[in-house]
Amino acid sequence: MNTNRSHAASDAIDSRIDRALAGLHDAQPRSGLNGRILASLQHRATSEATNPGGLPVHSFIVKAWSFARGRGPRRASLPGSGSARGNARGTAQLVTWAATSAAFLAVASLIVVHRQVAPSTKPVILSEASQSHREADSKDRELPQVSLLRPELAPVQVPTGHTPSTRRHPERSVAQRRTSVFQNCSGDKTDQCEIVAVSGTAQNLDAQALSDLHAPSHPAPPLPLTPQEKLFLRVLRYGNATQLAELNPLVRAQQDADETIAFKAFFPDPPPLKQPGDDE
Amino acid sequence: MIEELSLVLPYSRPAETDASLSALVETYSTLLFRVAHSVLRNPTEAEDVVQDAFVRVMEHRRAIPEIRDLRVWLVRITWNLALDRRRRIRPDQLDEDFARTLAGGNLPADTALHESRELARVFREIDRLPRAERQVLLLSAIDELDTRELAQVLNKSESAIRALIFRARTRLRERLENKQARLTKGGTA
Repeated sequence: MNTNRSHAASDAIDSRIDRALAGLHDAQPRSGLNGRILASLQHRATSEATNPGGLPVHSFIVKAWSFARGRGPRRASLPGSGSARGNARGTAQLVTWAATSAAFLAVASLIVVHRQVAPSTKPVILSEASQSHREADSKDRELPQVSLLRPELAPVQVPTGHTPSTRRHPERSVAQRRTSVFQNCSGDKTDQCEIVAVSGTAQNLDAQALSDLHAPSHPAPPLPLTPQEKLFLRVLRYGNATQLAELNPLVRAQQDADETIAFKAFFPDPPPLKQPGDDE
Repeated sequence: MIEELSLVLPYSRPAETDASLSALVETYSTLLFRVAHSVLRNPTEAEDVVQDAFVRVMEHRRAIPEIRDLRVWLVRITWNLALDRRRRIRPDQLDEDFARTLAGGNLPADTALHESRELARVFREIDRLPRAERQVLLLSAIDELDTRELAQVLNKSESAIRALIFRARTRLRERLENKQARLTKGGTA
């Protein structure tokens, strides 16, 4: 009996292990995994092509650090180079290098600040006319493309400000997208602005994000009272006329007397019990 | 199952290698997703890991022609990335969610809850296995890697892989039985 039970338990555990492992085997990614990966790779390749090797400031700082750590001081401290001429040459070289590096850093910081402040140069699809203008513009500009992706697998073209769902630039704000939508409006005639819906998931996501942004906020509903709070409410006195009157001793005495009279009227005193001797 | 011919990347020029990256994504994304999912048990996290793996591929695309077995290389990258990510998240919560997903279905609510707890316990015990046994068990569960590929991914011999699979399964069953017996004893006492 016990053997059968242990066999059954062992079988149940085996089947549970099989089920867990089968769950791992049958795991399916969400639809569109390839498209998302390719979009991410394309975005990354585009950013690499636009800015190959990242910011030059980094490599420059590394070179400067290695120079300051190794080359400059070591040359000044080489044996036999302790003469005034050697020291002067090393100092002059260091000063020249420092001035050059400061100028380079200033130029690099200006470039970085300019790139952060300047609006996006990518076109916005607003209307048919602007779209055709955009196509012509893109041909002229020859934006860097990803050569490693097949064109039929390339992701859907997305409007300006929208980046693929990567973790590299998740902070692109909705406000930036909102301002860029009205770039085609002329003067105060904003009602004449024609916004053509761009097909694709990206536009839907934008619309969803905007609607979420402008959705009215409601206060949270009140929480239900706990049993302790309900009991507290029952003993709480609000100070209305009846409750205040009950605090007057005369009124309370009168009320008690009335209650006693009412009680006695409802429950009259019982008649006295007849004793056996009374009958006789 | 992916054909054996696609396991080895054809030795080609770098330009052709670039062009084949999209084909790589098409071919291996599901396999890599399962590899990452077996470690993380969360679709979103697994997808992030797959994406990171292909970013690594793109970064090292010049060296791809020199890689003899691209499939094993990709699985190893994904496996290591998934292990790194698992150290940074709360795996217990993910296991419970995944177990709830597995147990859900046409079962009544109480049965589904019981099953999800039992499955979560199985995943917890899998995570408590010795490292080599755990890795072999999870990778073999994907069922798309044969013993030779498992041996290459984990840097072990094929016989060692077979022994580890058997040992992992046996140890897992024993631990679950012991836990079940303890629970039953505690319930009756």
